[in-house]
Amino acid sequence: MSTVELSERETVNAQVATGRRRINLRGILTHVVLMGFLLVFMFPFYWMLSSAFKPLPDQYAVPIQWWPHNPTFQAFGEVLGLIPSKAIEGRGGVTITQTMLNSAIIAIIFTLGAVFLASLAGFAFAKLRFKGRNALFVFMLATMMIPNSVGLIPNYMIMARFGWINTWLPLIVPGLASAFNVFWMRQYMTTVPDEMIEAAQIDGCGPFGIYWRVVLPVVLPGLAALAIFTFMASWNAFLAPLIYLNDADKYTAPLALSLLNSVVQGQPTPISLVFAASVISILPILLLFLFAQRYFVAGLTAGSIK
Amino acid sequence: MTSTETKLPRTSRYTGYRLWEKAAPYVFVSPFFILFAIFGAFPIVYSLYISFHDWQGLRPGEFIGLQNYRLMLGDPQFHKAMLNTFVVGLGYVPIMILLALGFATILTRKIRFQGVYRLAYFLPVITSLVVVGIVFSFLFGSPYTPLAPLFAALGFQGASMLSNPALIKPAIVLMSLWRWTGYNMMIMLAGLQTIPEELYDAGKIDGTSGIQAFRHITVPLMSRVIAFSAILSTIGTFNLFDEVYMLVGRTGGVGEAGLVTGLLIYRTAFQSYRFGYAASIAYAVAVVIVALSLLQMLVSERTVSE
Repeated sequence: MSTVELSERETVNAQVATGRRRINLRGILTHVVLMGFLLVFMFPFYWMLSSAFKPLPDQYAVPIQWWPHNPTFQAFGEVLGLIPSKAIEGRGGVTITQTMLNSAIIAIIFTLGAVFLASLAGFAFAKLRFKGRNALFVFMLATMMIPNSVGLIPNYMIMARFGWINTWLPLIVPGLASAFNVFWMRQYMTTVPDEMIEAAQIDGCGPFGIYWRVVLPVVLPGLAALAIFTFMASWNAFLAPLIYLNDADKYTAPLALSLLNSVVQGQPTPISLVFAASVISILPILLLFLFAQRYFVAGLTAGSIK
Repeated sequence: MTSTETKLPRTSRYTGYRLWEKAAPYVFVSPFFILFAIFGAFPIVYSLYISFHDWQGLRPGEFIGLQNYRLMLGDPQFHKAMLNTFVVGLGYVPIMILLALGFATILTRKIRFQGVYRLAYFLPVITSLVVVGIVFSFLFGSPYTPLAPLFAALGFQGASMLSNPALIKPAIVLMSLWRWTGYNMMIMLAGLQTIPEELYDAGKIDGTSGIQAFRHITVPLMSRVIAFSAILSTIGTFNLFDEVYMLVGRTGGVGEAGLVTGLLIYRTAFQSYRFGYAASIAYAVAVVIVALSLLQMLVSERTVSE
């Protein structure tokens, strides 16, 4: 350690003395390390994508094919339902296209509902005075600590009682009651200056008008972050679909992927199909991420308050 | 709305408005709180009730007091799941925190390809856990994995990590590192923004090396964020489910070496239909999580008051 310190100090001194640049060995080393990790982080993606383009025999080629020698769109065609596929027929015959449509419908309804309910309640907590406000808020915060697994079984019983098993409702309705979402919106809305609200009140704006026309436009970034966060959570959800859905044509994309990855009558699905479907299923989130990176990071790291 | 209001006599319109203003907060929070009561709060209480009963599936069971909990304390499978979860957590959390802090420290500076590195490290975070599980079950479990030469070089027998009970937990650790390091890096990057640049400048004038600055400036000032990340990740370990389910299956893999608490709760509830017993396990895990959350609050409060 001490030698490192010494040499560092020496180089600084040398730099000061000569006033010239040195060959930046440390900088190069940093990039080598960062690049190494980059390759490690990217490798699973690369392998998924490149294997999706390999025909079946090439999957087992010895030595390993590090890139597809005979690239084909066969696997993509099969999972999208453009080419008939035995593997998919044997697993409910549902294409990734349909399950992604299912996922999209669920995620969009869920996101709209969650954002609306959370912002409405968050607005009341942030900007309206009413009896029991603090008690309700503290109660809500306290439940945030308790993991979802505690409510798993009672929720299943409720869904059975409501006759909601094998429908999409259990994937949409309970999640709307997220205490975190309300907390998140409230935190954003407390930053809206009271003067703005008072001015709107003088202009004759009612409580809903203030929420809709004054506060919401100001907290749009917070709303966007929450929307992205909830959309992604819904799109990627696995446990709830696994528990509640029985019919393959109602499956969401993650559940369909897990079905596709299963062994049926001793036959595993060709891995190119599984990887092709996996790649397709992460595309919507990837695109969303590339277009709205800022909100994404805000929403995800703030999700860590949970 | 306004046109009908103007037809009303002035006084009644005014009282109507006053009434709405009084009721509005309750109207705003009630859609959320009705759902929250049914799907959030009630299940927490009801789960405790169920855990005192011998509930099999949806069929109500007899009151058996603390018997489920007594059973749990003597259940080797429960011990195994708890231990596995702790081992996995201990295996990846410290390494991940170090890596995340290291990446963040380097990538907070303006260096070349800063954006590329950040993006590459963050991409696993937005990938669905099911896809993560699928890719890693291939990389760590398939005889055709591109990692086979590496495994052979390391002397792993059978060229597969997942067929060896001793290597299943390391596999989960590596998968978790891959998936969550970027997430914690983002939290650390946000935390580093709060350290004033002048401190590093002052250090430079005193001839402090990069490593010294990291040890004596970054780490102490980031201690709150580090604790936050560490505790949050430990909590996350007790919620592991999707990716482990995909990696080792619902049984937990060979020798149940990958049986984590999330899998155990799922299996007990939805494979064995022992709802009462599963509820008691969920509660036991929740006690650990709530304790960790309280620790988290304690840590952040203490450092804030400093």
